[in-house]
Amino acid sequence: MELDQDVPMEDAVELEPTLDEDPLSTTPSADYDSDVIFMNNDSANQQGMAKPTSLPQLSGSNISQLDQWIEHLSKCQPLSEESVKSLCKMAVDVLQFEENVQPVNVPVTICGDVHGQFHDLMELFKIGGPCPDTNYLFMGDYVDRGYYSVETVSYLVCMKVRYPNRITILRGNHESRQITQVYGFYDECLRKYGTSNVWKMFTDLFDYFPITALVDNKIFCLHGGLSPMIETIDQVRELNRIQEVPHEGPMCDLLWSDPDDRGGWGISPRGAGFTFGQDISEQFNHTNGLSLIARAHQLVMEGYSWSHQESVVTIFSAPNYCYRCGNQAAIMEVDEEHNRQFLQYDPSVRPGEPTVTRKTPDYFL
Amino acid sequence: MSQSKPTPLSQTSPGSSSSSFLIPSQPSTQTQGINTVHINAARELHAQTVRARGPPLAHSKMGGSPQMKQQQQTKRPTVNSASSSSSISSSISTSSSFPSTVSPQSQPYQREIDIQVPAKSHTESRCTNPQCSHCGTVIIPSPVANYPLSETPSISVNDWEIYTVKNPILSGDLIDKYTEELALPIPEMIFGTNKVEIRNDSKKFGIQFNAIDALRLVKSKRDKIDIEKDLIKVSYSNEWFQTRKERTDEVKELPKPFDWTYSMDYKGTLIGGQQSQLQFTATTDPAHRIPVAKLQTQDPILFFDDMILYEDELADNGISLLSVKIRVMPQRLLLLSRFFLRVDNVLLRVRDTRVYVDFEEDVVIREYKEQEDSYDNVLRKVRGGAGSAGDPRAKLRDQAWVSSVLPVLKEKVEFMNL
Repeated sequence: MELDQDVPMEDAVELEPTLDEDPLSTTPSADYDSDVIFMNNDSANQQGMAKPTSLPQLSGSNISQLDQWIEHLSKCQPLSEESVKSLCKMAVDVLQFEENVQPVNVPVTICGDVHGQFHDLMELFKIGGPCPDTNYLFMGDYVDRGYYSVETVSYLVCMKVRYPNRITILRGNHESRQITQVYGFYDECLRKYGTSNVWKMFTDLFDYFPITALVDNKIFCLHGGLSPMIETIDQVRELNRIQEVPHEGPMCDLLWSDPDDRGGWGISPRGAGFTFGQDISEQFNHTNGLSLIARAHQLVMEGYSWSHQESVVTIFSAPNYCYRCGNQAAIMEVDEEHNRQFLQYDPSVRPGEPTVTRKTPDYFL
Repeated sequence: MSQSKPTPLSQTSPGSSSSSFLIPSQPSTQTQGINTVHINAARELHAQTVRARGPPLAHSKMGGSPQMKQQQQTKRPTVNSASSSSSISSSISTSSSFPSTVSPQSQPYQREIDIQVPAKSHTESRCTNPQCSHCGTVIIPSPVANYPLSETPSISVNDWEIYTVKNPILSGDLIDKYTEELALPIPEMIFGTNKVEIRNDSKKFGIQFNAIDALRLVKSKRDKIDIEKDLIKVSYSNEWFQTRKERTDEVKELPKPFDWTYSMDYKGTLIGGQQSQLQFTATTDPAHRIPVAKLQTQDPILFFDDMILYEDELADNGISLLSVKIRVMPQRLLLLSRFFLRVDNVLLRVRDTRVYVDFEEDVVIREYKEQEDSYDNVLRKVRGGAGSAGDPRAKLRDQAWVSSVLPVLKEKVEFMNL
């Protein structure tokens, strides 16, 4: 079997979308199921919705197809390669019309890293309430590390296509070709599908994910943190996000940087990557009329952690990270009055899940 | 199958009856309110755990028929009633069905071996040694399930006591405390209360492996560090700096550097109090090296554990990992503390500390070894070697393979006669 695709580690530059056709545009719009919360009043009134008329409408057959996939995936069974292919095409049609700063209404439940821990994602929906009854905003890192990256990302993308105005999925630094080759998603695709085709389809799709979201103009949500090249949210809107996560520049910083106790901008001793201090966060919030920056990207024992005197919050939604850290996970509910509530949870006991990452006794030397 | 269902211990040693590993077969008062799905799941989890704790059949070189193994499995040793209920004689422990290249009977021990579980000075309120499925006395506390997340198994062999502690990562406030104390951002996954401890109180000897003491040896913000010479940079550092030249005014001052790879030369922490004058003696005499041949005989493993002390993904630039594993046999033990570092497209580094204890001769040998090579060199070895099909980077995650190809830069052997 030809396993070694040996995809080069270099960044892909300015990728052309691989999706040439639009299966949805060919479906008669008369099939549109008005029950679908798709263009409901809430979302139609959303400000900043740049091209609402361009949003594709789901046909009845698409809806039943999606519901079937969701049903299948909720049992933690991966979709066929063919299904992933058509799912990704449908997803591009939804995601390409989203903005770099995707507007989101309250109430919404904001979630951090999931990292392929599929059963914990199901637990999350149990704790937070099922989608689409509850609105969700995920801040990236769906794949790598856990055992079920394929099922996790397939499920979330299905939900996104099915309920586009009820769930927002941002891009994390792991939604990239380069990182997924090192941290598991690529290997998992090879293992589950025998080829890297599914990995290629998903990583091509990741380029379309929005990179930040703005909850009711008050909470700025993104995976990593701030960038010294970004002073206003409008500057994020000007970026060209449809590309592999670059090694430098503002898009890289938004997905990678971390808050730090030190003031000002810091450079990581690694020789790449920024840290930002409390003065930076406060200035950014002030300039943009924000109350909070919500981000993910870092493991925290309690599932969430405040920084910079509550101007930044880190949310991490993978309990017992890597099946060994013993940490709690958390999600943050924001209601209509902008009250915030954190829900913490532990992993649930689940049959069939590999429970160990340690080896059986061996005669090591 | 050969993995027979374990019977609960009838043994009456203190603590063993309160093992938290046994899931009640009926929903008891404690499990009321949990639905059937959860109970079934818990049972499955428990069964998996029990199966996983079985003897390492996969490693068996004998390849006996399942039937034969079944026979061995069901042959239970009888506890010598003359000895205390929690200790077993050597002849009993070696009659287990562990894969062995030597017939147990042909290898008489020089003296009576006193094995106790938990260890003599075990102070935890309860014993958390998981029970072995095949004879109920041999202890293999690995691997374990997610829960209980805290484990404190132990064993003693003669005067030697072995303790391991496994807990979740540190909480936020403890991380803050250590960040301050060590002048170092703490690794992302910090198992700060995990430890492996080997003690012989009558000889006033003790050695412990823990994360915090290891991190004390990492170059911190208090140390003098030459950024160019002392620190490794990620592969795209130059690129990153180039594009940020025009913005360097934004960065008022460079932060105090620290060794972000968390490299150090930890060889364990000697314990034993002030009165202990015990010191290791360095040696170059090959006779004082760890006797590999003795370790290659597959004596029954009485106790095995494997744990991570700290791990950091280096912001997705590779991995830095310090782990410890230990196996205890009737006459000796071996501990391996391995620091593994991979900085993608830059380098690979392995630093091993092995501690060997001979229970019969009361000798402790400690070997420390540093290995390192560039990422490109190692990648070339992957491509050149056999089995180069597949993703070459998968090999670079295989610690055993990496350590087998890395050149040795430094080695130090020490011993201690007690």
